[in-house]
Amino acid sequence: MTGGITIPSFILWIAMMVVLLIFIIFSLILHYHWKRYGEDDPVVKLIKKTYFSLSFGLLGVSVLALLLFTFMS
Amino acid sequence: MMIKMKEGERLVKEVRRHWFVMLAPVVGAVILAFVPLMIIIALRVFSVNVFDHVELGGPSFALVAAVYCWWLLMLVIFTVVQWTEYYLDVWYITNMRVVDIDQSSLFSRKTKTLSLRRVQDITVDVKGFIATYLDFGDVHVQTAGASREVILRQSKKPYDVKRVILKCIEEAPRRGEANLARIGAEKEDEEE
Repeated sequence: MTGGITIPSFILWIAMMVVLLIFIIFSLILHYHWKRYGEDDPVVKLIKKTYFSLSFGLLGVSVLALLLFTFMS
Repeated sequence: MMIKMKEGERLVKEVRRHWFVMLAPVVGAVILAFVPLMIIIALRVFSVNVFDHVELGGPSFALVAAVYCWWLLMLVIFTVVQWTEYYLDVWYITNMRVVDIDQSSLFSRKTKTLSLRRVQDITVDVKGFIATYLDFGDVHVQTAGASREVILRQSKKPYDVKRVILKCIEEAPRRGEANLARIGAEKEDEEE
């Protein structure tokens, strides 16, 4: 095992699940509002695209990073 | 559009708060996004040995990267929630009424409708250097109804909004006169 930060992996994966849960809850709430009040609005569509692209990108990177941490430590 | 139009009704103007309202949350989020990096740099500069074992490509670096991504995700969610609240807070000015949709938070939404015929006074309130320079302010519309006053806060181009409402009031069909005209036309048809 290399030196450095030593945290059990399962704790980090639980933290990952919590972050994912927060993301899903807020995404559902935001999606409801956008669908109900701005379905045909081009600005809403743009924000929706940007939000989900950024969020999935960040989630993907964090999952990859955690996998790296889990298998290398 | 967030309202249903009546027969013969058309949308004249859609008014939102000035973009300056969103500046604080966006700038705050951008600054907060850089805070962890600034902390790491500051710790290295002051030779605090917290991140000495974090090697590029190593497991510790991966962990720091994952946590930083979570931090950025929370900031993205926060900013988009703020934007949604800003965007759903809107006034619709039609040729018949003013609809005030007040989205004070994600789960708090009030809709007030004012008939143009009930409007008694419109006041524009622009306070401060920034508001004057960027042309935004509050538009107060006073009516004769139960909800005496409706306020559009931090509206962009408030004087234009006032002008548009006044123009709509002038052009709004008076129901009494329209009915008289219709009855008169029907009588003429019968006589013919």
